Amino acid sequence: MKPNVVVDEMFPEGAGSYMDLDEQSAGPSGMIVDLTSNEKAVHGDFYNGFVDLCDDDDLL
Amino acid sequence: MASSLEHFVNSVRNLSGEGSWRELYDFLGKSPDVLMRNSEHLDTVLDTLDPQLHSLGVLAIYMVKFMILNQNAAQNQGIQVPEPEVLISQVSQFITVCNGEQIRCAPDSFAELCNQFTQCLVERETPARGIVPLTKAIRKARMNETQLTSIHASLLQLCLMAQNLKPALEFLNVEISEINSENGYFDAKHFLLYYYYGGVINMAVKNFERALYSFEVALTTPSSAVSHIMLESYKKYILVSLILHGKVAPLPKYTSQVVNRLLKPMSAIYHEITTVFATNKPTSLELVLQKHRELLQRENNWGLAKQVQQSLYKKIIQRLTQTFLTLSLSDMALRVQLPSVMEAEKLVLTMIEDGDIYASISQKDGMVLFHDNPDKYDSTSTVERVQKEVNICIELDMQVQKMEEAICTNPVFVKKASGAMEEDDGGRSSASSALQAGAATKVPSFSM
Repeated sequence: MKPNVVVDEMFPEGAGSYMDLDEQSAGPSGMIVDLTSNEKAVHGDFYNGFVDLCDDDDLL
Repeated sequence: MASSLEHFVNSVRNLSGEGSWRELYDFLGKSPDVLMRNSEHLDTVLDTLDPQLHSLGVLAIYMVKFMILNQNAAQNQGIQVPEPEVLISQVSQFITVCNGEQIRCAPDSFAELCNQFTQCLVERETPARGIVPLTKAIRKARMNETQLTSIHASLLQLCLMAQNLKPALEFLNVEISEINSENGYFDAKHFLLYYYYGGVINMAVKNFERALYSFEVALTTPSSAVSHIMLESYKKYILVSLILHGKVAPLPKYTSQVVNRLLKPMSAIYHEITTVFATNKPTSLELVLQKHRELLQRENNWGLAKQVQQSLYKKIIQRLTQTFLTLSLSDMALRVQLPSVMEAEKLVLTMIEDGDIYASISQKDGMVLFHDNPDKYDSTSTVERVQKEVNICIELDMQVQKMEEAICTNPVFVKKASGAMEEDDGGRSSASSALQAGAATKVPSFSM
């Protein structure tokens, strides 16, 4: 994904010439590969059934 | 014992004795079938091996035991299925005594064993039993303190389930700068879970700053598909941000477009809360929270939402300090839309204690007197604080330089860089060949 216009206070003149490291060969940064699969949503099975640890009844 | 098992034991002993971990790792990769066929003898084999000296061999046996445990009844016909309770005890003990040097030669197998162990405990609803073994597992598996492993996420999950958060803090109060790829076992999910669970834990211990950072890291992970972990991180990011800053902190520019494009529409009620929060009307906010109470409770965000309400009261009181020098508690209760004078007094006292405002309450006439910040920032403690912050910046700078050097000297990067330069000069053909060559080479490590 290469943005057409780059506006950044650190690089006001733009990003200049740059390249992407090959995603497939980027070791653990291969995480981008996992999330750019054709599936529309991922990680739907992750465990999130904890009790609400922030619910202190005396707060309100 | 069958001859194939004797061969297994002899190979494990000999290769361990020689320290030929690579050969042993390769040999064990071909052994599951043999071990599975001889499931009734696995405990006898374990008796002949020393978990300290033959850690890789023992690890392979426990992996097969979990494999059998996870198979269905039809697949397990004629196979001796291990007793889960016994297996949990055996693996707990093994993780404690196994040799770190050896298991680091099979990081994928060790990570998978820890994952199976965690799932077994989750299914049996005994998460607390895994906390100590997994803390030991992380210390053995990682190469240094700042390296992230997939076991981190498992530990945090067990800590949250057991509502025992203290053991997790040791692994959350470090700046992760490296990922252990675990021979390819480490996945984006492990990374996101570490930061999501880490954020939830920091939230629970009221370390909102760290929690916000954790959710931000999860949210800014490069992606172009919706991850449910990122979605939940986003919802919590909004609420924590309101509690901490009184507004939603903008996400960095490098955040993937998916967050704005897909996660925002999927978090509509959280944006509604943000909009109402900005109007500085606590009663309106309360109405919105009550309207969405069921959903917020279902998403385990009700407690956090209540703290957002509390945060709005505080924000309004802080604004009052800019207008008034003194204010009666009854007037304050009215302006802040608090239910009673007592509530107003309680809140002001909490804010004074937390250093959110500088004020005193006159019990005689029920007046609140707002003061200026007494700190003139000319003490030695201020100098120490500044020095500490500067040191952190210097360390960070050094780390970034180190990472930059590692990337600049990376053969894949160098090949691509030279290829791109040639392309700029019009050398299109040589550039594409360099890229093709680069694509076939694995980057050995990646630092974030």
